[in-house]
Amino acid sequence: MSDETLLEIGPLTKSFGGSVVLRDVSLFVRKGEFMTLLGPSGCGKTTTLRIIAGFEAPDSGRVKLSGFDVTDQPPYERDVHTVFQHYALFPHLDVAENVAFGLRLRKAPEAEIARRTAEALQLVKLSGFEGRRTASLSGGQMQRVALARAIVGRPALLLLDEPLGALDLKLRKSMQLELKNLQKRLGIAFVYVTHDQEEAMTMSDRIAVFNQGRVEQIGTPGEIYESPKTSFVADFIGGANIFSARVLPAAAGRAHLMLEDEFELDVPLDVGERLPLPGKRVRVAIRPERVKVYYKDELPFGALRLAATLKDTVFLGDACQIYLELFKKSPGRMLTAVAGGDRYAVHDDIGVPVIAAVQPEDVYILEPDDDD
Amino acid sequence: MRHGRLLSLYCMALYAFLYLPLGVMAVFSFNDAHRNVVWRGFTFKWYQLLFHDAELLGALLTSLELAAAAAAIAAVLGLLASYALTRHRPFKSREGYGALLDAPLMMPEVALGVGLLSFLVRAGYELDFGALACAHALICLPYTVGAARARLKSMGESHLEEAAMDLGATELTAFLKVTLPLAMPAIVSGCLLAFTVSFEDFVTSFFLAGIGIVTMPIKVYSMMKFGVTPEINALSVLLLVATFGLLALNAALASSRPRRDGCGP
Repeated sequence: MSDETLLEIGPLTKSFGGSVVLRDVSLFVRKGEFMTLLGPSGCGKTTTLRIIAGFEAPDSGRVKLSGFDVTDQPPYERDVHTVFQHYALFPHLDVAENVAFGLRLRKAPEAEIARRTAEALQLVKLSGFEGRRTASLSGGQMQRVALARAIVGRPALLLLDEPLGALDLKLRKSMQLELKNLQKRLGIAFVYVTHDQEEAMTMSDRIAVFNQGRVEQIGTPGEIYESPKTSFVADFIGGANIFSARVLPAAAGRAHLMLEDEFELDVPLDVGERLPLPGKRVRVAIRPERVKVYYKDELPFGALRLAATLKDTVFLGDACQIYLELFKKSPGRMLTAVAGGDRYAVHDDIGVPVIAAVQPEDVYILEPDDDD
Repeated sequence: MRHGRLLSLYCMALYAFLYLPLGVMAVFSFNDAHRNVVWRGFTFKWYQLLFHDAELLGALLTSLELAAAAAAIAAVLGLLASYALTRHRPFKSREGYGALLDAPLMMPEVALGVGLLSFLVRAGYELDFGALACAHALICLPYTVGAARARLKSMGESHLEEAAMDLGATELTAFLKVTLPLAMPAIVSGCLLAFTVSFEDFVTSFFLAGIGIVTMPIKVYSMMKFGVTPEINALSVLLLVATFGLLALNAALASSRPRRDGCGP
């Protein structure tokens, strides 16, 4: 851990009434970093956030903030503020009183409270709303008040629990950029919970992908997308064709795989990547947008060549989804490709033989396949 | 069309059934005669008589004090009980305890009266104002618990106390600055209901009043032994007006609660 580390948690376990919610969740957040906890609902990301805030106590594991163990501290002693999913604005207070709530509790001088409240409201573009009742605000405005209330005290760390979840798509998109800019300007570290992978990709410095109470992978958006470590990560972020492959003996730094017992592939390994022993099975992923479909044998240099039959095309507007039958032994198992433009949106082509081409480095080797 | 007519006829009959006796009573409270059967002309004399009846006024004062005391006790206990039922981590058979708090609502008052009486006598407790106030608080409790519990529950779902603690408030500060002000309309509304319930209670009071404590309903009952006088009519009208006033106040409080708890659209 470098001295840049602001928050360090782990290994956290937590169960509620016999059902395990967190299994050995460990991660750290650097000063000023935008860290996203990403995963489907019920994966433990919100529980992790609540443990960091102090609303829940872990069954085991510690929470360290700026090097100090705060696991046993109540929420009001932690230098951490939260933006709640449904904002949790105080309905009996107006906008300015909501924002000033924390400062008042600290008994800050009135002049300072007024100055900082005005500043925070300006940051979230709500100047002039001071005297408004919270019930008279729109969802987006409530969101901004909740944000102003949480940043006015300049915490070292801000926790956000699906803060944009209740907003419509267009507003969400513009708020994403605004939040990201605000975070960079203030230099406050964010721990941001969302189930929206696109949101996570757009905003985060790093992403921790959660699944069933575990952290599956932590990395930058690029790392998560370009080298997923498990089939869950590959599928949840960006989507992927997941297959099973048998490991064959191969040269150093390369993997020789038999895909679904039909296609032999020779792909390079990432630096430091290890493979199970020959004879074992692994899962592999191929991103639909990295599959190129050719009608003739006109492959780009170095591409892997998979003979397939075109089964169906779905027009998506800006792109086209192509379903390819790849395997003779299991015909139901399709390879999905995504092509830009309208070139493939022709139903006449269904049933014709084509070539699916994949660059070797676009075949991701994932976890061992223990199914058999 | 015919259906609409039938329906409005039915409605009129229903409301007549409900409110005609009260209306007749109100009208005859202004009747210048000792008997209730014939209209002899308009007068305020029964109301004047009422306000010069020292015994009756004493009973009224007793009932008001009793209702205030019972409502206050029930409000405090009700708030604490609701807080435990909604804020503490789920404990074993929490629902069961909640249901037990509502039980006095359904309990036959005769059974309650007999039970309280024999308990207090056996415990050697004097049947005084305090005992009666506690007994009334018991029958009022479901109303104060019901009002406060609903409010605290919806507040809990919107994480308001957590937000306060997140911003630096201790449990006590969060309770005083967020929970209490937001629950206040519900607490007051529960109090008003409790006040009404205690004020009009006859059975429990009758069992426990025993020596010397004469509440308004008991006084009216004893006056009735000599027949329904226009004075009783007048008194009943005043009580009705007061009750409707309280109900209206309660309704106004209920609608003045914040519509949204800072939740999303």
